[in-house]
Amino acid sequence: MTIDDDAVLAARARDGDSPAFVELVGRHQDRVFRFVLRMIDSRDDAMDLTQETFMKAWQAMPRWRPEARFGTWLLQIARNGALDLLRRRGVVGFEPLQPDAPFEDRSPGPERQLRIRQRYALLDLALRQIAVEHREVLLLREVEGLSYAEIAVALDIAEGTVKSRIARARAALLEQHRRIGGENG
Amino acid sequence: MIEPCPGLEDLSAYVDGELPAAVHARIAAHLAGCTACAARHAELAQLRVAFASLPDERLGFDLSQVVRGRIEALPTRRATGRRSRWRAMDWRGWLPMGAAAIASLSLGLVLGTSLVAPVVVAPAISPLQVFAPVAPGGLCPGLGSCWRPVATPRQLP
Repeated sequence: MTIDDDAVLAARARDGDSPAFVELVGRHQDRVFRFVLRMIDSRDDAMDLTQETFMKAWQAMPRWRPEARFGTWLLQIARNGALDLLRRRGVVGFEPLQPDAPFEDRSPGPERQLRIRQRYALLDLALRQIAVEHREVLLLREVEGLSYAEIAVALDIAEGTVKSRIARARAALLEQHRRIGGENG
Repeated sequence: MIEPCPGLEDLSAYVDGELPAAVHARIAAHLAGCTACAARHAELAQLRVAFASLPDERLGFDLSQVVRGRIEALPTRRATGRRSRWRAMDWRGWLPMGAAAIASLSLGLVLGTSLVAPVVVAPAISPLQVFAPVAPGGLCPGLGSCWRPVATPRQLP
Protein backbone atom coordinates (compact mmCIF):
# COMPACT_ATOMS: atom_id res chain seq x y z
CA MET A 1 0.00 0.00 0.00
CA THR A 2 1.42 3.37 -0.93
CA ILE A 3 0.24 6.90 -0.32
CA ASP A 4 0.09 7.46 -4.08
CA ASP A 5 -2.22 4.46 -4.49
CA ASP A 6 -4.38 5.87 -1.73
CA ALA A 7 -4.56 9.21 -3.50
CA VAL A 8 -5.61 7.59 -6.79
CA LEU A 9 -8.29 5.51 -5.09
CA ALA A 10 -9.48 8.47 -3.05
CA ALA A 11 -9.78 10.61 -6.17
CA ARG A 12 -11.92 7.92 -7.78
CA ALA A 13 -14.01 7.56 -4.62
CA ARG A 14 -14.53 11.31 -4.56
CA ASP A 15 -16.09 11.02 -8.02
CA GLY A 16 -18.53 8.42 -6.72
CA ASP A 17 -16.58 5.22 -7.43
CA SER A 18 -17.73 3.06 -4.52
CA PRO A 19 -15.49 0.01 -5.30
CA ALA A 20 -12.48 2.33 -5.00
CA PHE A 21 -13.71 3.48 -1.62
CA VAL A 22 -14.32 -0.12 -0.50
CA GLU A 23 -10.70 -0.86 -1.41
CA LEU A 24 -9.62 2.02 0.84
CA VAL A 25 -11.72 0.60 3.68
CA GLY A 26 -9.85 -2.68 3.44
CA ARG A 27 -6.53 -0.88 3.56
CA HIS A 28 -7.27 1.39 6.51
CA GLN A 29 -9.75 -0.48 8.69
CA ASP A 30 -7.18 -1.82 11.19
CA ARG A 31 -5.45 1.50 11.50
CA VAL A 32 -8.67 3.37 12.26
CA PHE A 33 -9.82 0.63 14.63
CA ARG A 34 -6.51 0.63 16.55
CA PHE A 35 -6.62 4.39 16.95
CA VAL A 36 -10.22 4.63 18.16
CA LEU A 37 -9.85 1.59 20.41
CA ARG A 38 -7.03 3.29 22.31
CA MET A 39 -8.90 6.57 22.33
CA ILE A 40 -12.20 5.27 23.75
CA ASP A 41 -11.10 2.03 25.42
CA SER A 42 -14.07 -0.13 24.43
CA ARG A 43 -13.81 -2.81 21.76
CA ASP A 44 -17.52 -2.82 20.88
CA ASP A 45 -17.71 0.95 20.64
CA ALA A 46 -14.48 0.99 18.65
CA MET A 47 -15.92 -1.48 16.12
CA ASP A 48 -19.04 0.65 15.69
CA LEU A 49 -17.06 3.84 15.52
CA THR A 50 -14.70 2.41 12.92
CA GLN A 51 -17.64 1.56 10.70
CA GLU A 52 -19.23 4.96 11.24
CA THR A 53 -15.92 6.65 10.46
CA PHE A 54 -15.88 5.06 7.02
CA MET A 55 -19.54 5.89 6.37
CA LYS A 56 -18.90 9.51 7.32
CA ALA A 57 -15.81 9.49 5.12
CA TRP A 58 -17.88 8.22 2.18
CA GLN A 59 -20.40 11.00 2.67
CA ALA A 60 -17.60 13.55 3.01
CA MET A 61 -15.56 12.27 0.04
CA PRO A 62 -16.71 15.09 -2.29
CA ARG A 63 -14.95 17.49 0.10
CA TRP A 64 -11.66 15.53 0.17
CA ARG A 65 -8.79 17.33 -1.55
CA PRO A 66 -5.66 15.63 -2.93
CA GLU A 67 -3.46 17.88 -0.77
CA ALA A 68 -4.71 15.98 2.28
CA ARG A 69 -3.19 12.55 2.77
CA PHE A 70 -6.14 10.18 2.81
CA GLY A 71 -4.99 8.24 5.89
CA THR A 72 -4.52 11.43 7.90
CA TRP A 73 -7.87 12.78 6.74
CA LEU A 74 -9.48 9.52 7.83
CA LEU A 75 -7.87 9.66 11.28
CA GLN A 76 -9.19 13.20 11.61
CA ILE A 77 -12.74 11.92 11.08
CA ALA A 78 -12.11 9.02 13.47
CA ARG A 79 -10.73 11.38 16.08
CA ASN A 80 -13.79 13.65 15.86
CA GLY A 81 -16.05 10.63 16.28
CA ALA A 82 -14.05 9.44 19.29
CA LEU A 83 -14.22 12.87 20.92
CA ASP A 84 -17.99 12.99 20.35
CA LEU A 85 -18.34 9.61 22.03
CA LEU A 86 -16.16 10.64 24.95
CA ARG A 87 -18.20 13.84 25.32
CA ARG A 88 -21.39 11.81 25.45
CA ARG A 89 -19.78 9.67 28.13
CA GLY A 90 -18.74 12.88 29.87
CA VAL A 91 -15.07 11.98 30.11
CA VAL A 92 -13.41 14.48 27.82
CA GLY A 93 -10.80 16.42 29.73
CA PHE A 94 -8.57 15.21 32.45
CA GLU A 95 -9.71 11.92 33.83
CA PRO A 96 -9.20 11.64 37.59
CA LEU A 97 -6.55 9.17 38.60
CA GLN A 98 -7.74 5.75 39.67
CA PRO A 99 -4.94 4.31 41.72
CA ASP A 100 -6.97 1.22 42.61
CA ALA A 101 -7.77 0.31 39.00
CA PRO A 102 -6.36 -3.14 38.35
CA PHE A 103 -4.33 -3.69 35.23
CA GLU A 104 -5.59 -6.34 32.88
CA ASP A 105 -3.71 -9.57 32.46
CA ARG A 106 -5.32 -11.14 29.39
CA SER A 107 -3.48 -14.44 29.13
CA PRO A 108 -1.22 -15.80 31.82
CA GLY A 109 1.91 -17.55 30.54
CA PRO A 110 5.55 -17.92 31.40
CA GLU A 111 6.95 -15.43 33.85
CA ARG A 112 8.77 -13.39 31.27
CA GLN A 113 5.73 -13.04 29.03
CA LEU A 114 3.72 -12.07 32.05
CA ARG A 115 6.15 -9.28 32.87
CA ILE A 116 5.98 -8.02 29.28
CA ARG A 117 2.21 -8.09 29.35
CA GLN A 118 2.20 -6.27 32.63
CA ARG A 119 4.39 -3.61 31.09
CA TYR A 120 1.98 -3.24 28.14
CA ALA A 121 -0.90 -3.14 30.55
CA LEU A 122 0.78 -0.45 32.63
CA LEU A 123 1.38 1.64 29.54
CA ASP A 124 -2.22 1.09 28.39
CA LEU A 125 -3.52 2.07 31.79
CA ALA A 126 -1.31 5.13 32.01
CA LEU A 127 -2.39 6.13 28.53
CA ARG A 128 -6.04 5.91 29.53
CA GLN A 129 -5.45 8.12 32.53
CA ILE A 130 -3.85 11.08 30.86
CA ALA A 131 -5.82 13.91 29.27
CA VAL A 132 -7.50 13.09 25.96
CA GLU A 133 -5.56 15.82 24.15
CA HIS A 134 -2.32 14.21 25.32
CA ARG A 135 -3.49 10.71 24.52
CA GLU A 136 -4.53 11.51 20.96
CA VAL A 137 -1.34 13.31 20.09
CA LEU A 138 0.79 10.45 21.44
CA LEU A 139 -1.24 7.85 19.56
CA LEU A 140 -0.91 9.77 16.33
CA ARG A 141 2.81 10.13 16.82
CA GLU A 142 3.89 6.89 18.47
CA VAL A 143 1.41 4.37 17.10
CA GLU A 144 0.39 5.84 13.76
CA GLY A 145 3.79 7.36 13.03
CA LEU A 146 2.47 10.69 11.77
CA SER A 147 4.90 13.55 11.34
CA TYR A 148 4.44 16.79 13.27
CA ALA A 149 3.09 18.42 10.11
CA GLU A 150 0.54 15.66 9.61
CA ILE A 151 -0.53 15.77 13.25
CA ALA A 152 -0.99 19.52 12.91
CA VAL A 153 -3.36 18.91 10.00
CA ALA A 154 -5.23 16.11 11.75
CA LEU A 155 -5.76 18.11 14.94
CA ASP A 156 -6.07 21.47 13.20
CA ILE A 157 -3.39 23.10 15.34
CA ALA A 158 -0.06 24.77 14.62
CA GLU A 159 3.05 22.65 14.20
CA GLY A 160 4.70 24.42 17.14
CA THR A 161 1.74 23.43 19.30
CA VAL A 162 2.20 19.82 18.22
CA LYS A 163 5.81 19.93 19.39
CA SER A 164 4.97 21.32 22.82
CA ARG A 165 1.89 19.13 23.24
CA ILE A 166 3.82 15.95 22.49
CA ALA A 167 6.50 16.93 25.00
CA ARG A 168 3.91 17.63 27.70
CA ALA A 169 2.06 14.41 26.84
CA ARG A 170 5.24 12.38 27.21
CA ALA A 171 6.01 13.98 30.54
CA ALA A 172 2.44 13.29 31.74
CA LEU A 173 2.57 9.69 30.55
CA LEU A 174 5.92 9.01 32.18
CA GLU A 175 4.70 10.51 35.43
CA GLN A 176 1.52 8.46 35.32
CA HIS A 177 3.43 5.32 34.38
CA ARG A 178 5.73 5.79 37.38
CA ARG A 179 2.81 6.29 39.74
CA ILE A 180 0.93 3.21 38.56
CA GLY A 181 4.11 1.16 38.43
CA GLY A 182 4.96 2.20 41.99
CA GLU A 183 1.50 1.29 43.23
CA ASN A 184 1.44 -2.09 41.49
CA GLY A 185 4.93 -3.22 42.14
CA MET B 1 32.44 24.25 26.97
CA ILE B 2 29.18 22.34 27.21
CA GLU B 3 25.98 23.96 25.92
CA PRO B 4 23.05 24.65 28.25
CA CYS B 5 20.67 21.74 28.70
CA PRO B 6 17.91 21.55 26.07
CA GLY B 7 14.32 21.92 27.22
CA LEU B 8 11.89 19.03 27.25
CA GLU B 9 10.26 20.19 24.00
CA ASP B 10 13.53 20.08 22.10
CA LEU B 11 14.56 16.80 23.67
CA SER B 12 11.20 15.28 22.74
CA ALA B 13 11.43 16.60 19.17
CA TYR B 14 15.01 15.28 19.05
CA VAL B 15 13.70 11.77 19.80
CA ASP B 16 11.22 12.20 16.95
CA GLY B 17 13.83 13.49 14.53
CA GLU B 18 11.78 16.64 14.01
CA LEU B 19 14.50 19.21 14.64
CA PRO B 20 16.56 21.07 12.04
CA ALA B 21 19.86 19.32 11.35
CA ALA B 22 21.97 21.94 13.14
CA VAL B 23 19.89 21.82 16.33
CA HIS B 24 19.84 18.05 16.19
CA ALA B 25 23.63 17.89 15.98
CA ARG B 26 23.99 20.35 18.86
CA ILE B 27 21.73 18.30 21.12
CA ALA B 28 23.49 15.09 20.16
CA ALA B 29 26.80 16.65 21.22
CA HIS B 30 25.24 17.83 24.47
CA LEU B 31 23.84 14.41 25.29
CA ALA B 32 27.27 12.89 24.95
CA GLY B 33 28.53 15.01 27.82
CA CYS B 34 25.51 15.51 30.11
CA THR B 35 24.41 12.49 32.14
CA ALA B 36 21.21 14.17 33.38
CA CYS B 37 20.01 14.93 29.86
CA ALA B 38 21.18 11.54 28.63
CA ALA B 39 19.04 9.87 31.32
CA ARG B 40 16.07 12.00 30.35
CA HIS B 41 16.59 11.20 26.70
CA ALA B 42 16.85 7.49 27.49
CA GLU B 43 13.53 7.65 29.29
CA LEU B 44 11.82 9.26 26.29
CA ALA B 45 13.44 6.79 23.92
CA GLN B 46 12.29 3.91 26.11
CA LEU B 47 8.77 5.23 25.95
CA ARG B 48 8.95 5.06 22.17
CA VAL B 49 10.10 1.46 22.36
CA ALA B 50 7.25 0.63 24.74
CA PHE B 51 4.72 2.09 22.30
CA ALA B 52 6.29 0.19 19.44
CA SER B 53 5.92 -3.07 21.31
CA LEU B 54 2.24 -2.61 22.12
CA PRO B 55 0.12 -5.42 20.69
CA ASP B 56 -1.10 -4.73 17.19
CA GLU B 57 -4.87 -4.49 17.59
CA ARG B 58 -6.91 -5.62 14.59
CA LEU B 59 -10.57 -5.37 13.74
CA GLY B 60 -10.77 -9.10 13.03
CA PHE B 61 -13.20 -9.10 10.10
CA ASP B 62 -13.51 -7.60 6.64
CA LEU B 63 -15.27 -4.32 7.17
CA SER B 64 -15.11 -3.42 3.49
CA GLN B 65 -17.99 -5.79 2.63
CA VAL B 66 -20.15 -4.29 5.38
CA VAL B 67 -19.40 -0.78 4.14
CA ARG B 68 -20.08 -1.86 0.55
CA GLY B 69 -23.56 -3.08 1.57
CA ARG B 70 -24.31 0.11 3.46
CA ILE B 71 -23.15 2.29 0.56
CA GLU B 72 -25.31 0.36 -1.89
CA ALA B 73 -28.30 0.86 0.40
CA LEU B 74 -27.78 4.63 0.40
CA PRO B 75 -29.48 6.89 -2.15
CA THR B 76 -27.18 7.81 -5.02
CA ARG B 77 -24.60 10.28 -3.78
CA ARG B 78 -24.55 13.53 -5.67
CA ALA B 79 -21.14 14.08 -7.17
CA THR B 80 -19.52 17.49 -7.17
CA GLY B 81 -19.92 19.87 -10.13
CA ARG B 82 -22.92 20.98 -12.13
CA ARG B 83 -22.45 18.61 -15.05
CA SER B 84 -21.86 15.65 -12.81
CA ARG B 85 -25.00 16.42 -10.86
CA TRP B 86 -27.13 16.31 -14.00
CA ARG B 87 -25.42 13.15 -15.11
CA ALA B 88 -25.97 11.53 -11.74
CA MET B 89 -29.71 12.19 -11.92
CA ASP B 90 -31.38 9.03 -13.24
CA TRP B 91 -34.65 8.83 -15.20
CA ARG B 92 -36.76 8.75 -12.04
CA GLY B 93 -35.62 12.26 -11.29
CA TRP B 94 -37.37 13.50 -14.40
CA LEU B 95 -40.76 11.91 -13.59
CA PRO B 96 -42.40 14.86 -11.78
CA MET B 97 -41.36 17.32 -14.48
CA GLY B 98 -42.64 14.98 -17.24
CA ALA B 99 -45.98 14.50 -15.50
CA ALA B 100 -46.41 18.26 -15.11
CA ALA B 101 -45.64 18.84 -18.81
CA ILE B 102 -48.17 16.22 -19.90
CA ALA B 103 -50.84 17.69 -17.61
CA SER B 104 -50.37 21.24 -18.91
CA LEU B 105 -50.43 20.06 -22.54
CA SER B 106 -53.65 18.14 -21.92
CA LEU B 107 -55.27 21.14 -20.26
CA GLY B 108 -54.27 23.38 -23.19
CA LEU B 109 -55.70 20.88 -25.64
CA VAL B 110 -59.05 20.73 -23.85
CA LEU B 111 -59.36 24.50 -23.58
CA GLY B 112 -58.30 25.02 -27.20
CA THR B 113 -60.74 22.54 -28.67
CA SER B 114 -63.60 24.04 -26.67
CA LEU B 115 -63.17 27.29 -28.67
CA VAL B 116 -63.68 25.52 -31.98
CA ALA B 117 -66.40 23.17 -30.76
CA PRO B 118 -69.15 22.11 -33.28
CA VAL B 119 -72.30 24.34 -33.54
CA VAL B 120 -74.97 23.43 -31.03
CA VAL B 121 -78.45 23.67 -32.51
CA ALA B 122 -81.04 24.89 -30.08
CA PRO B 123 -84.49 23.33 -30.19
CA ALA B 124 -86.88 25.31 -32.38
CA ILE B 125 -89.20 27.07 -29.98
CA SER B 126 -91.11 30.09 -31.08
CA PRO B 127 -91.37 32.90 -28.48
CA LEU B 128 -95.17 32.64 -28.68
CA GLN B 129 -95.10 28.96 -27.93
CA VAL B 130 -95.00 29.78 -24.23
CA PHE B 131 -98.65 30.81 -24.59
CA ALA B 132 -99.62 27.66 -26.53
CA PRO B 133 -102.28 25.40 -25.01
CA VAL B 134 -99.86 22.49 -25.08
CA ALA B 135 -96.55 22.81 -23.32
CA PRO B 136 -93.53 22.13 -25.52
CA GLY B 137 -92.99 18.41 -25.64
CA GLY B 138 -96.50 17.65 -24.38
CA LEU B 139 -98.98 15.34 -26.14
CA CYS B 140 -101.24 16.88 -28.78
CA PRO B 141 -104.91 16.67 -28.00
CA GLY B 142 -105.63 16.74 -31.75
CA LEU B 143 -103.90 17.03 -35.09
CA GLY B 144 -105.00 20.64 -35.73
CA SER B 145 -103.99 21.97 -32.34
CA CYS B 146 -100.36 21.14 -32.84
CA TRP B 147 -99.93 22.00 -36.47
CA ARG B 148 -97.65 24.96 -36.80
CA PRO B 149 -95.00 25.83 -39.33
CA VAL B 150 -91.53 24.90 -38.05
CA ALA B 151 -89.32 27.88 -37.36
CA THR B 152 -85.90 28.12 -38.98
CA PRO B 153 -83.14 26.72 -36.65
CA ARG B 154 -81.28 29.49 -34.94
CA GLN B 155 -77.63 29.43 -34.07
CA LEU B 156 -76.51 30.14 -30.59
CA PRO B 157 -74.09 32.95 -30.25
